[in-house]
Amino acid sequence: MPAAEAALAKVQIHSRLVAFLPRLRRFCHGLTGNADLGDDLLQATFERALSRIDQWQAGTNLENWVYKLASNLNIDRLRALRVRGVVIDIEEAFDLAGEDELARMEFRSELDAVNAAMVDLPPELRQVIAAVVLAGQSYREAADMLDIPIGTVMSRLSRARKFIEQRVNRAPSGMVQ
Amino acid sequence: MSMTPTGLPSTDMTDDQIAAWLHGSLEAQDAAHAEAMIAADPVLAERASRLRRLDDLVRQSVPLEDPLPAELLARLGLPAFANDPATLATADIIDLAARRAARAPARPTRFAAFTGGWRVAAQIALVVGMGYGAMQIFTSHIPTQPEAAYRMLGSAPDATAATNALVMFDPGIRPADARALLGRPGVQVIGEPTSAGAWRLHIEPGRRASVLAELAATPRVRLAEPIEGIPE
Repeated sequence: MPAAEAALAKVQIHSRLVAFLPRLRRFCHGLTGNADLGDDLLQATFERALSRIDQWQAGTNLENWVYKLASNLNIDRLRALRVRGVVIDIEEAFDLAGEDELARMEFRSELDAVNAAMVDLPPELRQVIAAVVLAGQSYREAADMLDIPIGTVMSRLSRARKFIEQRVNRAPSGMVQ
Repeated sequence: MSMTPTGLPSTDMTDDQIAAWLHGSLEAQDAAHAEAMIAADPVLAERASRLRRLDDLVRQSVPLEDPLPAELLARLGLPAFANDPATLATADIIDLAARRAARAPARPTRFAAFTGGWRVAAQIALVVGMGYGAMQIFTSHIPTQPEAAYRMLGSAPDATAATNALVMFDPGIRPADARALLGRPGVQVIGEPTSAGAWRLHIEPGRRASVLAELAATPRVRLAEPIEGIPE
């Protein structure tokens, strides 16, 4: 590619990344379940996108490529946090609250309950919620981003929904309407 | 248990299948079938409404903040004008949320407030604007910006000057510092920097190569390239 075209392409890509930042930030907040951690992840993702922009293939979806960078960085962060411990398969783990735990939950509103649920969600479940519900990705796109089968996306969504719904049903307005 | 027009019990659609329909992740034929079943069965419609409400609450819990706060932009090394609405107006992003809205079934009006419908509409308009091409992305908003209140020596507007070089600095550089670095004999700054932080220059033809080489060797310059054919 001639130097002039390459220069213009870089300017265009940078402009697209900047315009994409608000939605990337929302995705990062959803991935981490925390605004401060989310902004840290946003910064790391933006820096990585700029430094590796040559690896993005023109003609593919730039937005999805950046989402995947964010997701991978978040996985790296989680792995760093997981010092030696018992490995539990998320598909086998029982992550729904028991009756005793439910009885202790009190929320001011449905939104308060969802806020709490998003913080408490196991990371693997939060990933699919962030991808599908917050970023608007299809199940296929979410599966490609997270390197998991579509069936796993669906099962994790189902578990995440039940996890959140349990808490929302403890909120003052009761059942989700 | 209610029955659908096809005679299938409404419980034959699981919440996962309803959610896949809501998320626009069913194949077209399956989506049409699901839509017909849900439209005809109040029990299924109620379950769909409940799942949709749950998604809305999740989106509300992580609101979309646009534009970004100034302090966050500074942390990302971006200048304040990255918040300029022209940044969005000139970007050719394919918005996945808009795509999902197009895939997903129509929603009741009472949920519109949760989805930021105006934003989706703006993004759809944005996508329509993609056809204008790269040159307009780069320049379309620049002529509408007011002239700077000051000019460095040699940067006075010249209607005959054409952009023949492009310079980008490290993120976060102050405009005054950028202008100072560009203040060289034979260099004329064309307008204001773009939303992406690129400065357009007209450099006297005989000096262009040497000036760009000097700029490229300057520590705070990330890119200094000759460029032809950028419309004014």
